[in-house]
Amino acid sequence: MSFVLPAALSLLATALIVVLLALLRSRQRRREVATFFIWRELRDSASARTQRLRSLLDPLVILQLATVVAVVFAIAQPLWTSKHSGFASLAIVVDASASMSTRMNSGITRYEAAVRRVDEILATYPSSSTSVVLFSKNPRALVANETDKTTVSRALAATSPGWEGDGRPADLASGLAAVGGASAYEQIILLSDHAPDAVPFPLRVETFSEGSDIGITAFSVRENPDGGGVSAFAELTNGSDASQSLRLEIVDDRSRTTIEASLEPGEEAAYVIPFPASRGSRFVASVNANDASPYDNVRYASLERFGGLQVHWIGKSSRYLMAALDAAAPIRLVDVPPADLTVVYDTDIDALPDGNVLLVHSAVRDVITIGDRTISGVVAAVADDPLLNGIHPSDIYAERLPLVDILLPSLSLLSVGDSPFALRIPDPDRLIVVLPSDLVATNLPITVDFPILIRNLVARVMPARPAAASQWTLVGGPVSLGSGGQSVELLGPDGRALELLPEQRSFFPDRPGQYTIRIGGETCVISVNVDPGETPSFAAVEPATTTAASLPPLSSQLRDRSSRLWPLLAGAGLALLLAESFLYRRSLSERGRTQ
Amino acid sequence: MQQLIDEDFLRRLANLRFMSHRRQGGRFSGGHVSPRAGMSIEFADYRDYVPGDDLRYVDWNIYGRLERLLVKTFVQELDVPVYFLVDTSASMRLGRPPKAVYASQLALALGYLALRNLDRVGLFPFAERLAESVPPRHGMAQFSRFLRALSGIDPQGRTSLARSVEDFLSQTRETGIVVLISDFLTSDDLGEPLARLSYRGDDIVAIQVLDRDDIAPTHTGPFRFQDIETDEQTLLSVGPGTLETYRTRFADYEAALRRQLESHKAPLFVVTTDRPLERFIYEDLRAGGILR
Repeated sequence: MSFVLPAALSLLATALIVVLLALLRSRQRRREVATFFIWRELRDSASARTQRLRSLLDPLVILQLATVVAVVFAIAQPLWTSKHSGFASLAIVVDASASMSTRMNSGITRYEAAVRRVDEILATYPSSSTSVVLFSKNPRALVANETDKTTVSRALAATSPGWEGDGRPADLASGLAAVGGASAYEQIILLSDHAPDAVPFPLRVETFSEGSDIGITAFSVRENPDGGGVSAFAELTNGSDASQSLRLEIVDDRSRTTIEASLEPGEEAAYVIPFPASRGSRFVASVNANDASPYDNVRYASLERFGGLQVHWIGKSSRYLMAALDAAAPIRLVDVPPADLTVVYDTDIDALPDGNVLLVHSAVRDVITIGDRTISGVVAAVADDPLLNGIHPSDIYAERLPLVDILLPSLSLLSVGDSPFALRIPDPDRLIVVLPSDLVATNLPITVDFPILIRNLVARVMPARPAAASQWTLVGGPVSLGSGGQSVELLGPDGRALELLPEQRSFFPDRPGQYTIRIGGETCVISVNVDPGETPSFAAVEPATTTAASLPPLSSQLRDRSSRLWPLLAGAGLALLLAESFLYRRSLSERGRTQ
Repeated sequence: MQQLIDEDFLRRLANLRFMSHRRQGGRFSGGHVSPRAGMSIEFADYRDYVPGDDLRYVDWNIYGRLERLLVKTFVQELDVPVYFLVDTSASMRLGRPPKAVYASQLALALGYLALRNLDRVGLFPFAERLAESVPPRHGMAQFSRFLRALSGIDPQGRTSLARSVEDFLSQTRETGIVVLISDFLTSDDLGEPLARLSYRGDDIVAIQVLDRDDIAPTHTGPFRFQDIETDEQTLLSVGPGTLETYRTRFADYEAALRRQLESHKAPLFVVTTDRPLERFIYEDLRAGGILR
């Protein structure tokens, strides 16, 4: 044992004051008594003998001396040096990637098992100065050169694995650099679910790889070239040791599609899933795997969709109508439905197409018949309809307006005399507009009313679909928030706004999902996924050979460990003082009772 | 007198009188019942007339009925000497106030009311031997002598009740009421002097004046105990257990003392010096039948 302030031991001389005071107090006082004959008899009684002994060993004096000794020693700050096994410096790197949340057969996650192992190491090598690094794609130092094991354990117990992917050896080196660098440590222990690739410094790796993993390892969508829906690409991995019958479901904003898949143990299978009905831009793929690692059973993708009007054109072309449509909205002609608008121009068709339809001088079998007889005259409005907003019907003149028979209920909007010039077939789910006349047989295309009419029509059929940009990244990857100067709004996967610092130019998503960034008037959807590398193949989950039990034991030297005893001594001094005070008060009260 | 006793207090005592348990034969008329029939207003008995009897006391009514000459006798009230034996040994120095002071005040108060009852009062201070005494006399002039004697008391010396009683008996011939005021704290045998007093026919009234510390000492620690009368010393470390044993032993001693006094028909009154004198006289002594 050594002392930080050995000179303070000279204060032990103050104990002499206590002894002197005790001697002064206990010196025999003379008492003249009238009952000497009684006192003389008492001299040899048992109680007097006990009291005589007690006066020699006054507990109050003993406690006072003990208090003085404890306080003086506390001031001298003794250091108790003992031999303990341990490392001069120990770095523990705990894998905090998403795969560490895989639940093991024992019911705890790999991460929890790693934390328990850390506690074991700390208990075995208590004299080590310990640093802890949480290792993933973005490593971070949790504890640096801490000698208090409780602090290390508490700090680690408060953490949990994130959603990030595995870090690379360079990431490991940078994580250790934050706590002094790998070279500063006598022993570095990595607790992970897999051994890392070539690490440029000595490292003991203990793995916790129990637990099956079935997951989606890849997911993306692209628009079909013909404009009809999307095609999804998904890859499933069966990391378990049993065959799996899985159901993969893909959901967009409004619709869904599913496929069934059967995978052998360790099999990876890729699927192209047609999703023709999809008109959305956000996609979520999920697999119904009942495994120990649910973090990779859902993946996200987003698609940059065309923001204009998709038109399916049937019949002859018309540059007037095409120009009017282009003037109203960006147009993309699609070869196959569905489309936002189907234009049937100067042709006969067998049935009314699905969706919104504009029929121009076209017949539909058994529904709309265009007669041979025509009339001419100025057009007049016969109904009040939003389609006619801004139109002056008297400006329009029909040279040859064919008579038309419609076997469906219809609403005439414009007419020449009794013959309809423009009519609408009422349908609550879609818009069907019929212009019986050939456009070139009227002056409509050259009037200002024509683009107005088409704009009114497009406004009715234009889908409420934002022109969204699309990005993707992995959890922990950087996402740019623009170059500044514009208002930025960031919405998390749950749709709630995430707080951003002023002038924040990037952020690192810490969980998977679809984030929405609004910069100025533009919107961008970011699909954030767990690193596919976190889903190991079957080969990777072979029984581990690097668990702590299978490794040679950690060897460390016996080291001196100095324990500071002054808090203990100060506490003891206080306790002794309280005990002395208690005894003194009790003796006072006893004296009071006898009086 | 002001130092020793309060005048107002004495005035308040004037309505009290000493009671003698035995009928003492005095020489002068007084306030005490005599064993002899005599002249007073309290009827005692009849007896046959003998020549020389005062014819005023012949009961002529009985003579008329029985033709016998009977003389009425009355209780004769005589003065009784009251002897105050006051302990002035060194042990009476102790106490708060000192036991000697309290004993003097008590003797003075009782002597006063005895004088008021026309008794003769004598003072006999004693320690190892009887000190200079004040012989019993009537009258309030005696009170002054009493006061002077008590004021000059300087407690010292050992207590020897045996020798003191022997001196007392040799100095007094007449039986009376012996008021023995002492702390009675002595290892000497008290049986013999009490027996001698009792044998002479004296009414003994023992008043034990004690300090509270005599009964229940409270100080603990190591002490060198010194007998205040003999200067004998002993070392003793006193703790709660020792104090408890002391209290037990003291109670035993008191019980033995009381038994010894009772065997001589002598009542024992114990008073501590912190008890107001007036209360002791009015409550304890009246309750004990010593005063009326």
